[in-house]
Order: sequence, then structure tokens, then C-alpha cells
Amino acid sequence: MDATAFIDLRRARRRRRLQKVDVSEALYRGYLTVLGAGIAVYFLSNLPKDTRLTTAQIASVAAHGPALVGLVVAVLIGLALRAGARGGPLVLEAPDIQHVLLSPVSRARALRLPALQKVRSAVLGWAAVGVVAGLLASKRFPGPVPPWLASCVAAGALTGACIVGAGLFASGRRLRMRWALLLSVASIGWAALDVAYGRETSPFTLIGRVALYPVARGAWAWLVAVPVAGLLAAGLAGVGGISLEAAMRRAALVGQLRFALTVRDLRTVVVLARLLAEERPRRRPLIRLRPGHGARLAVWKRDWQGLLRWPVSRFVRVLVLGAVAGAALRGVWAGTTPLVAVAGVALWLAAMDADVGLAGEVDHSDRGRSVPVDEGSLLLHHLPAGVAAVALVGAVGGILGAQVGGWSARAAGLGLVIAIPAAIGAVAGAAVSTVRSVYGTGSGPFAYSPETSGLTLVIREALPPAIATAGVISVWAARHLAKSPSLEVSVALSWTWLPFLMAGAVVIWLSQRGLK
Amino acid sequence: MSKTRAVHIDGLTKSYGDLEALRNVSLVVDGGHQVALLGLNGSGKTTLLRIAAGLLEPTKGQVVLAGHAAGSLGARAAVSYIPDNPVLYDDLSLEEHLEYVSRLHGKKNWEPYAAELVTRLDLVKRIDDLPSTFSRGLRQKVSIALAFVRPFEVLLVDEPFVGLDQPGQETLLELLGEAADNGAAVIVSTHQVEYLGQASRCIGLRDGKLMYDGKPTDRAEQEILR
Repeated sequence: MDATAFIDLRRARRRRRLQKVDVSEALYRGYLTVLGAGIAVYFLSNLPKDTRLTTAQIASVAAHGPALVGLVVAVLIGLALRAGARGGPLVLEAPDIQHVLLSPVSRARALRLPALQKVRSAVLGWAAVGVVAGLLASKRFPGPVPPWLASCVAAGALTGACIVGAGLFASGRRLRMRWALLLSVASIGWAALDVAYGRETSPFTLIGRVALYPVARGAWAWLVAVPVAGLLAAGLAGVGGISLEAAMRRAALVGQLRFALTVRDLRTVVVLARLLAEERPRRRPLIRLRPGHGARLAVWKRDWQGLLRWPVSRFVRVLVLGAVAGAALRGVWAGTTPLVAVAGVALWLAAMDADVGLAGEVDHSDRGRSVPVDEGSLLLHHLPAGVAAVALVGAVGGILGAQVGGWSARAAGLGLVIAIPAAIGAVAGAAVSTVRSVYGTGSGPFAYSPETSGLTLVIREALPPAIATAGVISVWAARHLAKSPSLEVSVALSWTWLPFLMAGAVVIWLSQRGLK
Repeated sequence: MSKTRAVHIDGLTKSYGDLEALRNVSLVVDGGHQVALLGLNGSGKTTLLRIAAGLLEPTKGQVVLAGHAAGSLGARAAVSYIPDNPVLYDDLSLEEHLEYVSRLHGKKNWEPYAAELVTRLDLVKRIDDLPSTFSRGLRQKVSIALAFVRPFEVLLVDEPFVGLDQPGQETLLELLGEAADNGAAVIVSTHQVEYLGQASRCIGLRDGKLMYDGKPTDRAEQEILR
């Protein structure tokens, strides 16, 4: 093999790409992006006016926080192992597979650069998450901002390195799915034991200690960088062993996924992500429903037939998203208001996953148009099953997640009160995302105005998660507006008007879709 | 290239979940032979070729090419594969493609043969163009040029005539014949009757099973594609 062939190829391709790029335009875009991101981070980090933690609360965070952060890291690594067993995290171009990986060239050598690029993007991406976390933490914890930024950025970078290292290890060693799942369960179990027993035995907990270093201290925690570097090195060393079969499948799907993301077609993103995860409905439903007759409740039954064919992975995903929402709402309850958006987004994602019937209708809109039923009405009939699914599965996860930091009957009670409104808000938001991908949003008075197009775009993209967030805003209201603990539930209930109002607007919007 | 046992497939099975795309297929192809691979849609032709090319992994059985296990470094040096859909870089010109593939396969003096291929496939005027601007037929011609510009002992070809014009089809038939004359084992999955006339052997697949292995007669074709 000609050793310079790779270098020459990269050079030729870079030259072609640069020919297409308008440098001044690119610089202008970069300037706008940096400016916008900087303003957004500064503004958002100053938005919460939450109170500083008390000494007792800080001591509690220092004692339990590292293990809890470690549990989150372990879950992320578990997901990375699972993705690695399916061929991730590298995404190769189909021509590279056909011409480079099928040539007599060392695959380890050919894949070194893409692997290093993946490591770089993962580490930088998670470090950026660390920046946001550090800014938010500095608002509630004592002390200056820089130590929080440094510790959270370091923990983010370590997490990114772990995730990509675990993924590369699993794909390069062609870890079978059952082994990947076993390793994932072992990692999560280890981190969970640390949480349960208040110990620090796992490296994940040490990453948590690094994240909370300004309050948790313990300089030895930084030694976790050694096993992380080892995992990364093991992943990079085995990169040449990847499965071309998995690489080809990923090359085809990820290309489509990127295009769907570019055009913000979220329904297609969900479908492609499921294909990427090789997630198929179960051949036999969990419960076989009896055949029915007549049009009455036909849509409701069809939706349950779909829900009863959920694979285990989807149950787990919705449950985990519910738990994330629950944990975030517990954080809102504890005084970190911005977490309400995290809860809203988690529930919106869960509803995107759960909205089986509506999504099926949207995917095959021609079939819906062929039945003698008003199309808008048909779409509306799919919503109740989605609400039921999110309320049932999401609420279980939510109530479990809300117990972060210890069992609380008040938190559980509040979780039950808001389960239905939260599910309604989430399904309404998801319905907007799903239906809009096919039917569009119509042309409002500002749709074609260049002056307002940017703002319209932002509103358009933020609206569905905002609707879902409205479903859980009652937790914030109960925390801040209830004058006594006995009034918390009634305040939370009184604030459910917001998700019901928004859901009503979505129902009107949906009913106007379709045949005119 | 010597006329040796170039392709040795033994007990090959490929499953996708519950679906068995190939079931216990065994066959041997010697160098210098042209084999037509026939079968209805979904019979397992593409799966068989992809496993031999090293793109898919068998569930059971083994494939040995020019003495090397499929997918190994030695097999990759020996096997050239033309997929059913051309796979090309959108940001490399035809000439850059030819250079790159030749160099990856360690071919030093690649220019003269590349120029000959480009002329025979009527691609001279497009040598500096990007394949992203090409029609399906032109992209297929580029894919063919890339398969032939490098050295090989086994040539695996999946539906190569789709989209090709008549002169392109004739050139491809000539190139396949020359490859076999030079000692390569050539396996072509096709429905093209002209190629059946040129092939020395016909292999039929149905539902993933080997159901015919013999002379490429009209009767064999009818039997396989019935």
C-alpha cells in the first residue's frame, strides 16, 4: 500500500470542500454563532435567581452528590457500550468502507484519524455541557465561578472520554449485545451500590467527585483520569476490528439521520434512530387483544395493539426519560428552577417515543386519507392512548426519579397529581412535532417575512418542548406559591390549567389538519 | 495469475434474526472461470457476494478466497467487488478515484491501464468531473473502472449491467472475459442473457439454497427463475 495515499486523499477532499466555501461568509457565520452562544450562555446562567444552598444542604451534596453524578455517568457508559455493540460510535462514509476498508490496508491505521476525531468531538462536547453545569452550579453553591467551571469541564471531558472509549472498545472488540448489556448492568449496578451505601468504590463516583470538587474535595479523585485514559487507549487500540456490516448499516442510516436533522424532521429522526438501534416491534404482543367489530374505539384499540408490541428497550427508555424528568422536578422542588426545562424536554422525548398510533398515521398519511373519516378527527383519536402510555410508564419512572436524595411521600404524592397533566402536555408537544413533519405549520402572516424568519424558526423549534414543560410547571408553582405544605397539592392542581389550555390549542390545530 | 482454486465456500449460512438469507451453501470456483449467479429477488445472491467480499459476516460456514479467509488482509488484496449500487466519493474526480484506489492496492504504474480503461468505457471527457454530477450509468462505469484498475484474483460483480448503455455493456463483457483469461475467478450476479452465453458455469439460488450448479443453458435459466 502506498503510505501517502491517505494523506493525498484527505488533501484532495479538503481542497474540494474549501473550493465550495465562501471564507467571508464562513467567518461571518462563525462570528454570529460565537456571539449568539456567548450571549445565550451568559443570559441563561444569570436567569435563575435561586437561593444559595444552606451549609447543611452543601454537606448533603458533598456526601451524596458524587455517587449520584457517578450513576448518571455509568448510565451514559452503559448506553455507549450498547451502541458500540451495534457498531457505534464511528460513522464512516460508504465509499470509505467500499474502497479503503476493503483494500489491503491496515484498518487500524485507516480508522485512527476518524477515531481520534470522534474522541475530540466527544470530549469537547461534554466539556461544553460541563461549562453550562458549572455556571448553573456556581449560582447555588458558595465560592467563585472559575473553580466550578474547571471542575465541571474536567468531569465533562472525562465523561466524554469514557463514553467514546467504551463505545470504541465495544465496537472494535465486536462485543456481543448480551455482553455489552451485562457490562452495562454491572457498571450501573456498581454506581447504584455506591449511591445506596454512600461509598465511593467505582470510578464513576470519582468522576462525580471531580464534578463537585469545590464542595466535595478529595484530590485523589483526579486519579480517575488514569483508568479513563486506559479505557480510551483500549478503545483506540482495537478500532481496526470494527464490523463492516454494522459500519455499512450505520453509514446509510446516519446519512439520512443527519439530513432529517438538517431539515428538522423529528419524526424521521425518531424512526431512523430506532432503525439504528435495531429496535423492532415484538412479533407477539404482550397481551393479544380480542378482534373487535365496528368503527367504535377502533383507533383506541389499534393504538394499544401498537403499544403492546413495544420492545423492552422502548419501555426502559420511556421509563428512564420519566426518571430523568422526576429527578429534574425534584431539583426544581429543591430550588433549581431551570431544571423544569430538563423535565419538560425529557417528557417530550418520552412522548415522541410513545405516540405510536399518531406517528403511524402520519407516516402513512395516504392511508388515513383513504378512510371515510375526517383526517383531523382521526389524528385526534390517537392522542388518548399516547397520554395513557406516557402517564403510566412515565409516571412510574417519574416517581422513582423524584426519590433522588431519599424517599419523600410529598414528592410521590405530587408526582401522582401532576402525572396526567404532565402526560397531556408532553403528548400535545410531541403531537405538534410529529404532525408538523408531514403537514407543516401553514403560512401565517409572518411566515415569509425575512425580518421575522429567524425568530419564527426559534419559536417553531422551541414550541413543542415548551408545551411539554407547561405540563410540569405546576411543581414550580407548588414550591414557590404554596403558602403552607398542606396547600402544595391544591396549588399544583390549580396550575394544571396551563397544560390543558395548551393541549386545547393543539387539539384545535390538529382538528384543522388534513382534507379541506 | 494462476488458474487455482480461487473461491472455496463451505457450509455458508447467513441469518438476519429469524430470516435465513443463505442456507448451507457450498461451492468451489477455480481461477479462469466465469460463473453466472442466478436467482429470483431475495434468493441470496447479493448476500453471498457481500460475504465473499468481506462486507458481511457469515453466521456459519467459511469462505476462502485465493487461500485467505474472506475479509482478511490477503483476501482484500485478492478480491475486487463491484456492488449493485455504485459507491463513490462525491468530492473526488474520476481521475482522483482511480489514483486513490490504485495506490491503496499498491499499484505503482497505474496511469497507463487507468487511461486505457477510461477510454474503453468512454469516460475520457469526464475524467476531471465529480461523479456526483454523473448519471446512474456513468457512475456504474466509474465503479467498473475502479474494480478493474487494481490487481485481483477474484472478481465479484453484482448486477453490473443495470443502467449501462449498449457500448458500456459490450465493454464490460469484454473486460470480464479478459479477467477470466488472465486467470481470475469471475462471479457475476445478473439477469443479462448475453452474459449467460459467455459464462462457463451457472449457479442458481432459491430461498438461500443452492438449487443448480452446472452449464448455463436456457433450460437451467428457466428452471432457476421459474
